[in-house]
Amino acid sequence: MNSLPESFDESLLTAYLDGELSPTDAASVQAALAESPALQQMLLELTRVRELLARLKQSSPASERSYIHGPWNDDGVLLRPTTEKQSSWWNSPSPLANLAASLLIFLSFGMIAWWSFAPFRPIAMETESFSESARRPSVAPAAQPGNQASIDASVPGSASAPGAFDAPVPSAFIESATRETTAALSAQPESHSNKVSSDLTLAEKADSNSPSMLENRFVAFLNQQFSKKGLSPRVDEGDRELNAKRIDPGPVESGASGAFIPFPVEILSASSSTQPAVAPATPDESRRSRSQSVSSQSQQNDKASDISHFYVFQNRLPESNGKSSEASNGVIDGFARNLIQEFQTDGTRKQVAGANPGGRVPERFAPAFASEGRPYVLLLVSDSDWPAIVLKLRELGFPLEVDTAPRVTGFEAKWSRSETDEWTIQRFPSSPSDNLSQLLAKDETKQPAAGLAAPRSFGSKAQNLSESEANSKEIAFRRIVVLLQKEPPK
Amino acid sequence: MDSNAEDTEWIEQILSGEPARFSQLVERYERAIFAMSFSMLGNRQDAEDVTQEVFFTAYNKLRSFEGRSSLLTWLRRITHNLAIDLRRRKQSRGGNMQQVETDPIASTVTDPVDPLVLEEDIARIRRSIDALPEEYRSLVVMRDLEDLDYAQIASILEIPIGTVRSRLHRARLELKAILERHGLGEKAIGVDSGRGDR
Repeated sequence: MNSLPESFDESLLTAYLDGELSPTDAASVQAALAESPALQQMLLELTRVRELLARLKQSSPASERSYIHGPWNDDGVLLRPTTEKQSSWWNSPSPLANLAASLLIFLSFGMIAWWSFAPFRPIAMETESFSESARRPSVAPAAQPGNQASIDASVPGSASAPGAFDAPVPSAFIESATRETTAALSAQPESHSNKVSSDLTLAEKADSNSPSMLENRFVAFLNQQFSKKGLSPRVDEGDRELNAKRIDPGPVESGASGAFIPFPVEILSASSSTQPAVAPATPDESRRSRSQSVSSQSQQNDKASDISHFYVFQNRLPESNGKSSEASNGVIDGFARNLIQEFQTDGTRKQVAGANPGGRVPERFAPAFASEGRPYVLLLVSDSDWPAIVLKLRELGFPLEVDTAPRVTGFEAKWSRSETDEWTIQRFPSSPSDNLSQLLAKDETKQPAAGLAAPRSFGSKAQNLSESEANSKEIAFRRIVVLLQKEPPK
Repeated sequence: MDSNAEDTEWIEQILSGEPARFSQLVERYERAIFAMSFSMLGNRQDAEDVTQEVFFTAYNKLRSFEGRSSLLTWLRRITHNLAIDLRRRKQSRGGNMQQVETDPIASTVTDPVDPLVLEEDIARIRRSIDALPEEYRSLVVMRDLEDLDYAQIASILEIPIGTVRSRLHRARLELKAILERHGLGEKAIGVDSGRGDR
């Protein structure tokens, strides 16, 4: 290689290659290049390095479509948020709407064709744009499942959208077909008649179809937090099986070898600002005081006031377990109370607590529940509130495992007030999870099976839900299952 | 309304007690943040961890966002810092940052002639980038993998544009040397420059 010109700043070559030079500087670089073979060689090598890096860029998962909702600009910015409420009939992904749209289009084409050959049709109407456009495909390309490219092209705001479907079809139909196909690709809701659907199935769907990958990461994230605290979260075999499909389970312990972490009820009640601290029940005073300070600090920060929808459901353990069950129920009572109080700084917030008596737990937790009676709390949090909720769980610093299910879309809850002044959920007609429906079904909430404890609930806490709000809510929710550690039997 | 103005509006709404907007911010930027995390870390698990941490951090510190840069730039700055932290933690624990993931589908699509060779090359390119010093690696990732311009990189790293230019130049020269050591010099940089070109 010939020597480089001494006075020349080599880094200008890189900037030249990247198009980051002003015209003047670019001209000076070109002049230097013309005179120096060494510079030309360096530019060539830099170009080839960039080409190699381009290969890596092409292999990156940027093309992955599992969590992409719509078109993105060059900065990766979603151009068209897909969170708007779908209220119009053509936006509803019902087969009936599909049929109606197809029928109307078919009839429209029929009318056009008939009009084209009718003997009394005015000659002035024989324009190319009218007849030709009527023969072009309308919604068909976008309506074919799996045709992601055509969907992208048809979404308004996409760079390739203009002119993609310019047939004289009402835009509502195109939008309908696009939305439905996109929804089918991204959501793939479960059949409500499928009674054997499991949480594992949901988890697998979350992996491939969830609108957000973040929800799959809670367990790993919280476990990481535990590790930082020197705690050892226990993951049961169900978790392990699930994690193998969803996340890297990391160094987990399984079965009876897992280390229990003391979880006294007193910690929970003491963390409430409205209740006096209770004398320690375990030697773990330091952790208790930490949780107290964290709790009061979090109340000062008032992150809780950001929570808009926060529903707590408890499981109830069979009384047949005697004191052990009583203690576990106390744990879960305390935890639920604690959470409710933490988030109860805003009077306008809606919150309902219910009880899920005995044994009906998400399948992935069933083994641990059956063998150990580990208590859990099921949280339904609005889609916008999950970060705050998880932050709160982190702040509390309690030993727990968190499992988040896929976003529960199309959620519709109807609430009713019982004679005991208690709000209960009546139905979840749109829930994609039959398990969730069963878990929270009215009968289960209000009529515990024989031999199980009567549900205890927080009826008075539910009164924030106004009458009008109670009628019908359609909110996107995340489900969070908090599986608590309990004190080992002595 | 452009995305920056909309971001500002959403942030104000979030801070004034309307948190529903946060999930929209997440939806808007999670892909970009995940892509950058993946570029910096080279594996999906770590990238997802960092992506989640970025949004938790952003949610926690949203009040400290002053709007001097765009929200995306701010998020990228957080991403950069968290990714570096993660790498350092792993390295201090003796972890292996050389585990390289490629997208097999994309790989086979980009070079249908010889996908296996290409995938191997990609892994070596990734290892070469990983072998760069931290300050160089970030620049290469942001410029050559994330296509950020010098001004954006300068804003994320909070360094002058001239420093971006000179450091990026040194980074590419260093990368060229490492690529040659990894067996990609003669084949890809020198002799076989045409393969994979478009």
